Amino acid sequence: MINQKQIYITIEWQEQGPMENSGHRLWREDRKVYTHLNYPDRLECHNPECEDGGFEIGDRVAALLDSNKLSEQNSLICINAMPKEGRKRCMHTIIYSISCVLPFQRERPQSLTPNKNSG
Amino acid sequence: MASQFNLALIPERAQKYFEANPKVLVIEDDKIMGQMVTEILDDVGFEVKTATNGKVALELLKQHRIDFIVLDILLPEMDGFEIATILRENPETHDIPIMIVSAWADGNNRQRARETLDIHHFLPKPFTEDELLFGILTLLVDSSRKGNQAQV
Repeated sequence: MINQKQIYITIEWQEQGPMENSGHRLWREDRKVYTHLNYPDRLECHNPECEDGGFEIGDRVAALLDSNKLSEQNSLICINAMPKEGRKRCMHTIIYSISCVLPFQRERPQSLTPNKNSG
Repeated sequence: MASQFNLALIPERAQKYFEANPKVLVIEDDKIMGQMVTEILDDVGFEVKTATNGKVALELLKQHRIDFIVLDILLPEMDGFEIATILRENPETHDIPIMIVSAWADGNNRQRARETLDIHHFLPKPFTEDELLFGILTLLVDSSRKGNQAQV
């Protein structure tokens, strides 16, 4: 049953890692729907050489919810790009899109289609 | 991923660009990415300033002499293209070399950078440390050539 008071948050992301001779490899592509109560702080990094890495998407969702905007596209690098001492630097990056659907807008979600041409 | 970048392997004529300790402004809203780029450039002796948005960046440019800029595209409030346009229109900043570093490195953005802003250096994310440093070396060598041509 749909809770009429919840904000629905769709996160779509692609995780990519750099390859030796330029270019990058797509590691994972995903799309998940959360609410304003259960969105994740961090998305997992899938680089097998990265320990306890991840992408701090929670801060971006929180900032979006605090703003007047309903969607955002941007990128984030793995937190292990600045690793703890003795660990390898992880350069995996996600490009993501966050879309929020507010309760009063639920009947017209097409208006939230992200504008992929922006910047 | 340890960097393989070794200053001694750079052709002698290009080493001067690194040895001159250039001052770089990194405009990047992802704080971890900004810290990482700062650390990599600091390690090779660059003097690095960082800004997480266009307003801070333009203020820093008023206060400091900057030799080149590493610019993200997707930024809050003012995007990278808007910042570059302001810089290109200002006689004080119009000739500062810019390298765009972005995950949105599609043909449209590259074309827009090249044709409307005369920005020819575009590094797609994700990148390795070496790709970042070689990209910057190319930027510095190219801009130096441009400078020499302008003086002739």
